[in-house]
Amino acid sequence: MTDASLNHLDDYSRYGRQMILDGFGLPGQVALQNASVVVVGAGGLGCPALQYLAASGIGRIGIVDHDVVELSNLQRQILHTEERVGMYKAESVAQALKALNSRLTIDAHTCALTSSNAPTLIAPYTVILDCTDNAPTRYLLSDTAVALGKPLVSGAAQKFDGQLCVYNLNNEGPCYRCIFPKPPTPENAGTCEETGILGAVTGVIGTLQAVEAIKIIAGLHDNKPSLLIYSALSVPPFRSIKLRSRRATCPACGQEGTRQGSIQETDYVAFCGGSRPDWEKLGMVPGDEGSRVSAKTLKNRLSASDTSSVKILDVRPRTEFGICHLPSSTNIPLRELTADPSSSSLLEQDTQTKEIYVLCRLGNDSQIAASVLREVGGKADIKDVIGGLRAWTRDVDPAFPVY
Amino acid sequence: MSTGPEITILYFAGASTATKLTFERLQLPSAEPQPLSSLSTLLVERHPQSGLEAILRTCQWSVDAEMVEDVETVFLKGGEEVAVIPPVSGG
Repeated sequence: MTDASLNHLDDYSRYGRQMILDGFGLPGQVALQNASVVVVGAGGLGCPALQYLAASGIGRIGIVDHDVVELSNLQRQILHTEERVGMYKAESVAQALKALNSRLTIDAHTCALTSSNAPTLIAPYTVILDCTDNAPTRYLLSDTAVALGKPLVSGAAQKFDGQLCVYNLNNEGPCYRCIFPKPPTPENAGTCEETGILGAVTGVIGTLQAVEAIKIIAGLHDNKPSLLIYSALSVPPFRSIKLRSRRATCPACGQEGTRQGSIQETDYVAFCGGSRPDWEKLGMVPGDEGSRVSAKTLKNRLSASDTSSVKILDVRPRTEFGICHLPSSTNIPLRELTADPSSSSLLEQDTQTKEIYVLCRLGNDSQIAASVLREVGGKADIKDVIGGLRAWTRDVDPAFPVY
Repeated sequence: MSTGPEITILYFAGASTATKLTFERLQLPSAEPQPLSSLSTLLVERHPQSGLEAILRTCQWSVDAEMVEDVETVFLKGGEEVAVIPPVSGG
């Protein structure tokens, strides 16, 4: 037989259910067998995408992720297990995929993707999946895809929402920079830890990324670029936005002559407004003595004989206050407090109140809240707690939940 | 007084968080076609102190399910469905 065929006889049974699809057939399966896909990010999007890519019989799969598995990942990163907490995500996923499909060739890269290693790492693969969790890497991957002339199947998710788009489709479609020339500020590009994410939402988007990659490899894509928006709580939940062609002025994929600016030597982190703040570390800044106190100091104050003049103000969002809070604390979310500082007056209705201790999750919002309260100029002495409730658990009460 | 025709605004991701809405109806300020570029100001006035202004600076707009490339060249006559699409980077 001279025609292309599958490498193993039992592959015909294994992949039969998709091979009998009109338009897919043996050529589709042979294309998958000979294809290589690199998935950048082995997290909430990467896990479901990799699971379906591996099951479908993609010949070679690369995984790039330098993080290790944490307990808080398991709610959505479905290829990792309790046993593999602490292991590199790329290696954890490689184990899961090998168990699923032992004939796969898997390259697990446990390094971070940088502008210097991206071209070499990505070049061997035919399709790129962007399953990352940060803006700088998204721009880097898009520029790399354009430079190498490869399609970039991009997924993103936060809270109850997701986005799916194939960039640089057929080397004609727009790139990520064409659609989003201005990156979000680090404050508005919240992480899953800061903004929250429903696990199954990443599952929806990651699975759709696998579908798009398979369509491209099997020659089933219509090559019309669109941005699919998923909003789990909206009706209808899916909306498809037709995209225009490339921006002639795009510094990455624009035409020679009309292109504006250059992406050579771009510092991607600086382009996206600098490093993501380390809120846990910033919340631990001691600040002025007399304005900030440690969790232990608060504990001692609460253990003293007379606490009738002490109030604890927790400024986290109501939903977070509902998860856990200190027994005697009052909740006024920071957003409400800054919009209407007089809302704090209820704390001082009790004329006995002499001290107010402001608390939040990590000790950042409490600093803002404390200065708002000082500006209002009540009679009470305002202090906020260094490191917030995270420090309370660490230094005072290990049984207080960390989320 | 607003006397113009109505449009529908769809809010996604951070824009939806800031406004606490997934959509709303908005009356255009006059019967004259309004440039899409004027919409930001109208929306920020409608949602003061919501953080929407910062989000609109980096978001993209679609009108009737087509991405807009240049907000100066698109005019709203009423009846359109305009979506506010911020970049999402989580995963």
